[in-house]
Amino acid sequence: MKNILLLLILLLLTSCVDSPVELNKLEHDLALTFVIRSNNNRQKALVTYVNSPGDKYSNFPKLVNDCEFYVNGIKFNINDSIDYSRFHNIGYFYNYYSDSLKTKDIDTFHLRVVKGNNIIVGKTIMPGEFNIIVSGRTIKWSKSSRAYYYSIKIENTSNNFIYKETTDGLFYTIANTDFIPGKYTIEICAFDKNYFDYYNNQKDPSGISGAYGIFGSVRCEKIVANIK
Amino acid sequence: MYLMDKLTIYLILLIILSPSNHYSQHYSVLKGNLVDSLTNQPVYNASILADEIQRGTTSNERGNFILKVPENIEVITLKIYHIYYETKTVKIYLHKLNKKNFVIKLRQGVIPLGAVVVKGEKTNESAGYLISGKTINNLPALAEPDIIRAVSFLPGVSQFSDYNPSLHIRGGFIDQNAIVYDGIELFNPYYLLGVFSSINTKTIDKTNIWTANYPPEHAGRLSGIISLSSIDRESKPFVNLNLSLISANFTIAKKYGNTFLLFGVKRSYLDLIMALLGKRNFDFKLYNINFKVSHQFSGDIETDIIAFENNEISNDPNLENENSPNNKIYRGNKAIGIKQRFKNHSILFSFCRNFNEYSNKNYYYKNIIDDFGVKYKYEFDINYLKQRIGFNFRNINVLNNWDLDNDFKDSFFGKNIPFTYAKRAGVNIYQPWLENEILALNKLKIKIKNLTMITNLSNSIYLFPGFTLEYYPSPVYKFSINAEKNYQLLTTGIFEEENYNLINKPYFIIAKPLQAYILGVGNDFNFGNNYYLSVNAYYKIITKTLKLLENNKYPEFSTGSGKSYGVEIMFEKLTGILTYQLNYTYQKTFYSFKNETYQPKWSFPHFIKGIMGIELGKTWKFNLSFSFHSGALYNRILGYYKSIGLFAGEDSDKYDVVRLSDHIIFDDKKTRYKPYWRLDVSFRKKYKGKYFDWILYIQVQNITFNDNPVEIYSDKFALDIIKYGKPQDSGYLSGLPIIPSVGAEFIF
Repeated sequence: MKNILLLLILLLLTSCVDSPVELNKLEHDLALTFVIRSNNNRQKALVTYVNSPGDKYSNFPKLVNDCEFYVNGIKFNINDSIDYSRFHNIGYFYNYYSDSLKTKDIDTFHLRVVKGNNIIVGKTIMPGEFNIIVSGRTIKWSKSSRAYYYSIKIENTSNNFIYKETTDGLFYTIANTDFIPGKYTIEICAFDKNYFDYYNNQKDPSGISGAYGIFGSVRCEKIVANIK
Repeated sequence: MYLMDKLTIYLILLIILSPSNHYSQHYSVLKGNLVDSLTNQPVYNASILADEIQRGTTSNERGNFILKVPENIEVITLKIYHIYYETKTVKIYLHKLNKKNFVIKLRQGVIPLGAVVVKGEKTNESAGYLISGKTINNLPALAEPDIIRAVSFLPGVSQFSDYNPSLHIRGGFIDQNAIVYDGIELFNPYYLLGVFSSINTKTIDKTNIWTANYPPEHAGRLSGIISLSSIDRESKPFVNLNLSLISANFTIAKKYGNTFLLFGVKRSYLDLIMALLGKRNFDFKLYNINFKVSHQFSGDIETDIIAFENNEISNDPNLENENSPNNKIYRGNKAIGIKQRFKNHSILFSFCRNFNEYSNKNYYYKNIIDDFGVKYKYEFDINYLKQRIGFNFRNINVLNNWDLDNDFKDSFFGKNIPFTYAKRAGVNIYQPWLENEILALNKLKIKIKNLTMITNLSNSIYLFPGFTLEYYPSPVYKFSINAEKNYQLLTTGIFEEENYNLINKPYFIIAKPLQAYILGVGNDFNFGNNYYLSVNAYYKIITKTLKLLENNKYPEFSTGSGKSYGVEIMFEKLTGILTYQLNYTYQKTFYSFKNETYQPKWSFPHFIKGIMGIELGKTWKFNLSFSFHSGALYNRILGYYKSIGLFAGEDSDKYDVVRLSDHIIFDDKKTRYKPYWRLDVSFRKKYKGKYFDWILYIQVQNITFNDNPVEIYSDKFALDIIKYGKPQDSGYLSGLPIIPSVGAEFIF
């Protein structure tokens, strides 16, 4: 009995002790987010400093505007002006852009960003082309090579209907009971592995090394169709 | 695996068909009956040990016991132990007994009324516990007694959140537990999204909890069975009115000749208070109705009719805006059951509708489970070895039907479920079972038991065997080892991160059951009537469990596995002015899905819990309960940055800007937050009246005002932590604040 009580007391005392865990520290000071879009003439990227949890929160990021920014050897320009004209209280802006990066006929993109001693490199492979077919209320599309999943956007500005969904399948059926038949813009986008890892697997960084963030690519196809 | 199952079947059949008891040939049968000295009611589950022949047995539900005694023995000394009664030693002169049938009266131990008494179920193999209705009603509670909260103090049971009494038993998901009321399973055992359990505790006589070695009548879960038995004719009749801050509860238990009646009704009165304050459109109420009538046709034949309904109803317009749509909620269970008991066998027919419906002008959901069941069992002896055979049949129909909007879908049901969904699924389950003592080596004081269940589901047959070996070298000590294969037929497949909100999740019928293997070792020490100690260890391997995938192929599951192991220690003082129970649990749990192994949020390696009752004078009672466990696991925030909005539709050439969003970098290693600590107390003062006695009670939850975390650094809160600039380690949703409440109970 005495021994059992001693054992009990020992267990109670040891219960207060947890084995220490060696925790990680921030690996990078910088974050880069850049997704190349097949349907954009202008490609835009953002490079910022990473904040510590104790830093005072701001709606505006700590911009990094002194990088050398290249994709496939094409140099990106810097624009660190913040556009307040359209969105008053929310900061909407970009700080690196290029109108020269062509996405047609090119699959593979290499990123190289230099800031002082920091060198950020990355690679993404753009998903292949695909077609969209509408049959009744089902929207189908052909498989895009190298795509990991898809987004679908159905929009009709006149009746204020907008619907967004993501899927790893190759079709979507509109099941909303309040759907009104009519002419809709349908946009399907196919995402690469880096994008999939960043958003679905919370992999950060994804597609780059030397900074947090993502370097990915997305191919979008758009049609206007009469949905009955 | 098929070959293994086949071999196991042969082995079991061989053993089962040849139950053997190592006696010599010349014995006479000694039949006795144990009754309460005051009430003359049978005393169930007493241990009877005979010194001269070194044999023991236990009394059955009618207080009867049987001992086989060699014919050459003239005097036999019986020692009778029972947790609620004083130990008694009786000498029997066998030649003076005419029919070898006698009655022994036992005197109740000194257990103070109103104090907390929780005891281990000693008849079960180190995985079973028993909580009396008195314990549940006396424990300090959030306004009202709560069965789920009472169970949470047992070893091996953890709770993740103050706001949700959902139980994680031996590391399991909460849908791996079944809550059964008089043999009928409840799928909606909670009110107010889980803040309270929906069970009227005044109608409960006792609660059995099994963490393994589940009884075959209620099997079908991987983690725990909580079986509630309503008050029956063996209980002292009473009329009770309880008024808490939330509800009024009236319960009556009466005998009329051979007929026993139990009727309980409970209703919340928040809507009535609001009406008094002028808010007449506040239509929100919780109510329970419990009804049971038993008629004894003869000593052995009895019929029970059970009916109950518990319902959470809300039909309130938004008080801020009279034009907003009404939110209609109907959530609860309604059931009816008929149980027929004969001398050695019984049969229960039951039907329960578990409903969970929500609607307003724009969207609705409806999750309904109709459960029809037949449970039959027959008990007999072969060579004085107990045999129980039975058959369960269940027809379960699940209807899931909804049409939701975006916010509601994400916050209540989970991401990526379809906006509209309608599916009805049904299944028939046939389960013959056998639970028996197959071998008793009385000289070695060893007993071997078997529990085998065969399940036919969707034209497939599954075998679930279990074996237990008991060694009882002395009247105060029992050792047992138990190995079993277990199964589960229904699941919600809920995501781990949403696990604490089971209430709205639809259940799914699984084509192939979830399965686990459990090995348990138990040591029970009974030090007279005063102290009881149990030390259990277990190792559970979950070979199949499911998780709903966050994709659009709803409902698609990811198949995973897991393991849990632990040591559970329970120490009790059961009699005297001070009674208490102290529990310590060491537990580790892991789940693996898609090659990723992780500890679930509720995996706290150490937890210490206790409940205590003190009788102060003749009228004051003081009860307290405390919980301590290791801190919750969380991922620290390492940093954060702004990312550009990346959803394809957000960006196009017509805008010269892109949308910004916060992106948080979490440490991929988990660490633990500071330990959880909570103390609840209650005072009860009894007043004697001419026509009735009444008790005034005051209770305080979290009296030390400890700031316990409920949720730490999930994505949702992490952003708030950053925005509001709180220090890094204060980022959590606070648990229960200090909450006092008062109430009164009238006993007629």
